[in-house]
Parts: sequence; structure tokens; C-alpha cells
Amino acid sequence: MAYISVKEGVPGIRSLFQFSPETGGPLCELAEILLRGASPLSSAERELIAAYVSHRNGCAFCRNSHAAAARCLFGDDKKVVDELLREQNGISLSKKMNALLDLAGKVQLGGQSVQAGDIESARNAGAEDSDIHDTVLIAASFSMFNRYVDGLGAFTPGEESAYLDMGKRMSEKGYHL
Amino acid sequence: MAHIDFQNDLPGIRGPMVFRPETGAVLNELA
Repeated sequence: MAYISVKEGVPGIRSLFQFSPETGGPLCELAEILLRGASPLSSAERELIAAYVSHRNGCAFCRNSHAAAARCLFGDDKKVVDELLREQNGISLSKKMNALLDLAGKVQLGGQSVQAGDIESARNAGAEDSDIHDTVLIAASFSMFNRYVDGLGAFTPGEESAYLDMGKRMSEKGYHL
Repeated sequence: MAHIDFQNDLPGIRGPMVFRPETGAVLNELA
């Protein structure tokens, strides 16, 4: 149960967007631009970064919903999502994506955890400035979203099936209030 | 020194906001 009076039964961050539409509007817009707007990274890759950062922050709602969206967007390659979240070795992702996920992990720890060597590793794997920028902003933004959801105790469905439709809707329609 | 080339010399968050105006605008709106 949420720590403040939000509409009952509305899951996760959507209940908070409804509670405060003034902030909900721009936050939704930010998610839409970050995950669906123009970027050298595919939407599937960006959803994967969002799910990974949420996983590391222990935010079950954001992890499960963005992992579900990533599975839909990866299609036949959806196994990478679960490989990553189970921290299995030999994940079938590109060198660039692995380096960007490492970078996202550093941002999740704190901005000052990012060192020149992390950027160099990403560049050596083929990342350009825009890849690096978008990865850092997604990781930073999702660390904020994760804290917003869990800091207010937003309703987090426990059953995995609840996230299937959510992920499908997010993958097809994006993020609009 | 910044980790990427923002193509401007603006301080702090303004550098990345101008580098990527689509996200910069919505971050400004949020602030």
C-alpha cells in the first residue's frame, strides 16, 4: 500500500503521475523521449538499460515492467533480458551494449563512480558520444524513477503475469499519460 | 573535463541539455 493517498489498484508510477499530473506530465514525456525518441540505441536496448538499472536499484515494479517491454521489443532475442537480469555469463549482446550496461551500472552507483576508463571501454567497443549520453541519462533518470516509486511505496503487483500486458502496451504505445 | 564532447562550453547540466535539446527541454520543464 502506498505511503500517500493515491488511487487504489493503479500500479507503480502511474498512480504517482495521477496524484501529481504537473510532474507526471513531464516525467512521462521524459520517459517517452528517452526510450522511444531518436537515439542511436534501439528502443529494445534502451528498455534493457532501464530494466537493468531498476534491477540494481531493487525496484521490482520498474524492473518487471521494463523487462517485459524489452522482451516484447527484442522479439526472438528476448532471452538476453533474462540472461542479464540473472547475471548470467556470456550474454548474447554486442560488445558495445555490454560496455554501455557496465557504464549504466556505474551511474546507478553514483555519477562520480564513472571514470575515464569506463568511457574509454565504451568507445573502444564502438560507442559514440550520443550512445554514451543517452546511456548515462537513462541510468540517471531511472535511478530517480526507482526512488520515486519505492520512496512512496507505490503499488507493485507481485505476480509476473501482471507485467505481460503492461510490457506489451509500453512497447506498442510508449509513455503517454 | 567532460567525458563526451558537448559541442559547447556551458557549465554543469546546461552543457548536456544543449547537447541533447529534446531531453534538455523536458528536464527544464520538470525543474
